[in-house]
Amino acid sequence: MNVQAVVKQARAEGRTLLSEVEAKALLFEAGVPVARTVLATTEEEARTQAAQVGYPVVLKIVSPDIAHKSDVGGVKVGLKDKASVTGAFEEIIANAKNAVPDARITGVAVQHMAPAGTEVIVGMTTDPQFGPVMMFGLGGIMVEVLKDVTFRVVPLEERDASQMIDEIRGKAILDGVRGQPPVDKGAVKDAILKVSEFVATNPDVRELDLNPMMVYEDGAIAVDARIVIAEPQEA
Amino acid sequence: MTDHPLDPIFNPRAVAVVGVRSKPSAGMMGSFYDSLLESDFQAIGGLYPVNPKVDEIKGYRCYPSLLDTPDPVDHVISQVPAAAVPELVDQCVAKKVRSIHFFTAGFSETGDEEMATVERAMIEKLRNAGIRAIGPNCMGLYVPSSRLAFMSGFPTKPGNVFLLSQSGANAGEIISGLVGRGVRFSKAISYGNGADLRAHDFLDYAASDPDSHVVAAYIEGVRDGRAFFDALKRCARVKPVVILKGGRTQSGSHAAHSHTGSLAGSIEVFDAACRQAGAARAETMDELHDLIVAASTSTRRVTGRGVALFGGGGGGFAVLSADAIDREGLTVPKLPQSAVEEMRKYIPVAGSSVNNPIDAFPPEEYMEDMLRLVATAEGIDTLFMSPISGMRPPPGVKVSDPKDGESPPAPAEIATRAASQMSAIEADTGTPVVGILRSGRMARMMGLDVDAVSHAAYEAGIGMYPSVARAARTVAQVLDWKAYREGLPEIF
Repeated sequence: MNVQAVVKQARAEGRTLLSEVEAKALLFEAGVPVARTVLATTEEEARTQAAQVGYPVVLKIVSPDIAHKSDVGGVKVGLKDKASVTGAFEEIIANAKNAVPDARITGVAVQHMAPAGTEVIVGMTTDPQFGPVMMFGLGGIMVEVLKDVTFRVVPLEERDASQMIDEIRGKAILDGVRGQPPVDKGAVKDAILKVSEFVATNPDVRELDLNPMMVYEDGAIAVDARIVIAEPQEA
Repeated sequence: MTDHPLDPIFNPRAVAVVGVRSKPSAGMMGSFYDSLLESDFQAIGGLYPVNPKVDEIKGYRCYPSLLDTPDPVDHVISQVPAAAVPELVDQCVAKKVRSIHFFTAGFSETGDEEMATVERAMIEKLRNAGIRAIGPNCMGLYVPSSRLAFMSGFPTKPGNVFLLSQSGANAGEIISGLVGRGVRFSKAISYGNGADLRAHDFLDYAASDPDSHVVAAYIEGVRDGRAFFDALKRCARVKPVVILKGGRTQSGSHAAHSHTGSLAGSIEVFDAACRQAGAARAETMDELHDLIVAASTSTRRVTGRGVALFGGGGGGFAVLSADAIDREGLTVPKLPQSAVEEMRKYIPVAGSSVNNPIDAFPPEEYMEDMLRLVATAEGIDTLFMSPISGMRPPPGVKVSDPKDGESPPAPAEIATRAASQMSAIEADTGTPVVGILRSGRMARMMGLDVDAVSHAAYEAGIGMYPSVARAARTVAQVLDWKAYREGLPEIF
């Protein structure tokens, strides 16, 4: 899957928001660690794919008309077997149709459920003065309430990515508090640099979020990914 | 002189002031012709006032139009009203000038779309003719080596600090404030709306200008963030750059918009861009002054957080000073026992603290020995000292006793002595000395002229700061600056 083709497809459908499956596929190609996620359009497909990506799995609604999947009951986590996948598939579709009756439903994303880790956000936004900039912060309330995030102008050098990680006020959480081991900052740094490279070579990308990205003692993986492309007239 | 394309702008062969005022005005701003006369620009180039209403100004011939002035004219200062600018632009093209500075305001900064269009059209016409524009809505150039000055009273002696400022009044404040502390400038530019030349052009020039070693910038908004970032990165890589960004708050950014038509971007991203480029950021005018002093004196060489404070002022002053130092993440470490014991040899115990902060006055003949001892003590990275403690005359000279019939030393002499003492301690010990000199009653009582001491210290390579709190903040900022510059070339 290449970026031009995905952008073209999205524009043909009048979308600027790529689907989670599209976004993750592009990021995977770019070398960014993302939780393996595939699209299922039928219950049958969902079961097959769940077995392929490996249990436990997460199912999420895929619709160009639904941005906040959890809010409409479009996400089911911790599905451990075939039977629970079957029930979840039906329920997600029903919830989505119920909440947004006119929504176009592309299908359901089937994703291997990554184990819980330290949640961080790696993002990119387009600043009116500086153009593409990278953003990094701790996930959850740290970003929402404390606005504990750092920025760098794209393209980033290695030192920029390292400094972004070390500059946040909640840095101690990454270094390990209350006996927790430190997280793999190198993996986060790599992800930041890969995303920077990806957006630098793809100017159509206007916003990008890996939120959350789970970071472990060894390695990191983006559980959710969101990409917004430029309106055709801005491109 | 360099081969940079902007170099000719800073070295005009002749200047015409068009729309020169025929009568003295009350305001400080806009007396360009007077400032140029004062700095004796005529000694090195042609200086032509233009105003059709008068024949003569201050005894010099005044020309009815730019086209009537002798050739060549390289630089034009426009004081004509906005409505007369299009005609002046045509005359500049005909006259083949190299640059024009528009003091004239009333263009894009007004928010009036029609005037913004006029601004764009005139810039395009000038560009097509190869003429560069500074402004509109600004004070233009101060280049002591070329005898260009935009305000009265600016020093004629050049220095090594380059200043770019979107505001003329702030440029004036930065220059006068820093001049009082001994700083001198290579070039200063107030560029207002930046319709043609703007921050990135000047940063690019500063990076390659051998006369400029330190760069200060006051910026309200950047029109082309990418070009700004790239130029900042190139410049900050090789020279200390300190940026004060105006319009950081919502109220400030509204004010900036009506002042220079600057649009607010995300302040967090602006700050990050400065850090990423390796430039320092000042939050206030005072911080800008302090960081420029630091970057051009030995304060830039600070390496650690341990501060020894020496200088008297009493126990209470020592306590508040220690608090101020600690608040900035620096420390006031206790001196090792061996050093304390050695110091007791010099200092009478009663009423004096012989630990850090040191609130003690040894007899003059032991002063420098004790300062060297403190500066080299374990855990001490920087010596903060007030010159008041070194202001006693050499043995045998009594300045405080007029009965001896000796005249007290002049302020300049005291200043030089204080400066040389501080720089000698620094040279002997390798520990950076940061000077503290509070103005006001204490300085007056000691017969100290704050500006004279600051100037003499600066000339000797020592930075003087108006309070312990500001010195501490500056040192902490320099340490942080050095930390995030890791991996970039050493410029300190």
